Amino acid sequence: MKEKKLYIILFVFPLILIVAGLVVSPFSELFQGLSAIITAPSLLLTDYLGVGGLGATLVNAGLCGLVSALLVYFNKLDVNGPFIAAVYTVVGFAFFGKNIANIWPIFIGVWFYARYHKTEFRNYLLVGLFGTTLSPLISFLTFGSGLPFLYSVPLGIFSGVVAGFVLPPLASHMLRFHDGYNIYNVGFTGGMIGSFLSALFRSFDFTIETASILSDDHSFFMGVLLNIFFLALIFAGLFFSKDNFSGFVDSMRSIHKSSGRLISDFVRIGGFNATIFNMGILGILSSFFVVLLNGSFNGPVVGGILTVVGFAAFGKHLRNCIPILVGVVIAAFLKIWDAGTTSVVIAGLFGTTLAPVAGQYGFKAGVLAGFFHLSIVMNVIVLHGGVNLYNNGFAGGFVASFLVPLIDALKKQED
Amino acid sequence: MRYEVKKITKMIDEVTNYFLFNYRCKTKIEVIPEKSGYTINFFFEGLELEEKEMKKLLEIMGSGRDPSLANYYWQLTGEIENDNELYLIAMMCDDVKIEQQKKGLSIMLSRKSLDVKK
Repeated sequence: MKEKKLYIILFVFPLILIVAGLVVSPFSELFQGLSAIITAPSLLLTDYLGVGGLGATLVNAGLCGLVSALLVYFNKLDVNGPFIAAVYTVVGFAFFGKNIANIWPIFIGVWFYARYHKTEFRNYLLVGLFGTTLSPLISFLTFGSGLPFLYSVPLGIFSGVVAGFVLPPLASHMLRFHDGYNIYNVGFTGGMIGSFLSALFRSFDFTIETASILSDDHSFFMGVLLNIFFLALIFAGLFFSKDNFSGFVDSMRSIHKSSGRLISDFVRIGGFNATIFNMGILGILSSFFVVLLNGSFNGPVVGGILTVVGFAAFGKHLRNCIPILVGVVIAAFLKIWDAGTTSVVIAGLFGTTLAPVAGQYGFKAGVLAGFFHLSIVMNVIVLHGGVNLYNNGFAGGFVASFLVPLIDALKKQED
Repeated sequence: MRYEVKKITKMIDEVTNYFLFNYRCKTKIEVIPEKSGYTINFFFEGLELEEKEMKKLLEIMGSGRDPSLANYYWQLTGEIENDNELYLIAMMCDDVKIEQQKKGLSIMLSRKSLDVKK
């Protein structure tokens, strides 16, 4: 989609967040909060709502989203499903790990990779945007390693640039591991890079351990703000389709027919109006899931919801997401974890990275994928120590690569 | 460009897989290396697509080259038997010609080695 007006979907939500942040907090608190966010080690799970307060977190998320949208705009890239997913993922994770300072070294690393191959940065920007999953690596080494700033600042930036540089070839290669059935492929790649680098740093006596800073203080506000936006998306999708409603229904059918396996660009498959409608619907579903499990709209949960909404333009819809959520809920009630905890709630939301398994192989396969996912995601985080924000994408890669060949083989036997 | 030969072989893999899986027809493939890139000619003997199928194929294959996605996702081509990545193939090509002939269906894919968006 080349129409410039479509950029509104990338810019509008970051701008809403910035305005909301400026309204709810006085300037002095904002700067204090932003400073606290930028200097936090930011390892999983660091809820910026608890670190910097509501206003600063909203402004940080808005700024990160704005930077991402501007990069897409100035690189003259089309507004399609992958880029909508990437921008919303950056915004979502800017509630718990990405900030306006720690995303840059990754972009610079990706830029160097493009220059190295004498090609344009725009050709790798998508990996760069998703690649900010490794932003905590920069924050941790700079502010959490215990080294003097003289060493920690260059070390943090250098590590981020290296991570960005190695991401494009690795991300492309890792696709073959799960054949596109794990939508958060860069999460899987980031998990590999994070595990590799964490092991290296640990062998030099660095202690890299996960964090658990969570704040439920702004749950109601965040829940209301998000759902107003989701309702607006639904109404906008319907309103712009009012002259061709049967076409809109056909578009929604086309979207729901898609398995969601990479690369399922819903803007191409169903058009822009059906895509934003789908984004709104999945936003409401995600919020309902949180309320159903008695969870809280804290930073990681907000991030999870926004990521689902972003990927509702790039692979996720009701038919392939619900089975995963059901699988995670069943697992939570049968296994050792409490269903209402943030870890379980986000495992469900981000577990929809496996939506293509349900989309391709049906409801039961999706439930099975969700059931396994909860166990795997709770165990793989120790490998990278929380430097890879897309821990569910890391886990999803293992689940998909384990389950899909088995399901496929059994299905073939039935044939 | 790196992996250029690999990309060409995966494109052949994907297109061949799609037509063999869905239509199981005799297939002729010709690969022509050129100074600026490659041209691949497919001929599916005896295959006659219905108007609806042809329209869908033309739509999928008409997206134009887009290195911003193809540079990342190209490794997915030719990997899955019961699903297709023809849209991705279109994003890897500078020119695509699809023609229904009397004796079968012909497809020509042309790819320059440079990453220039069309």
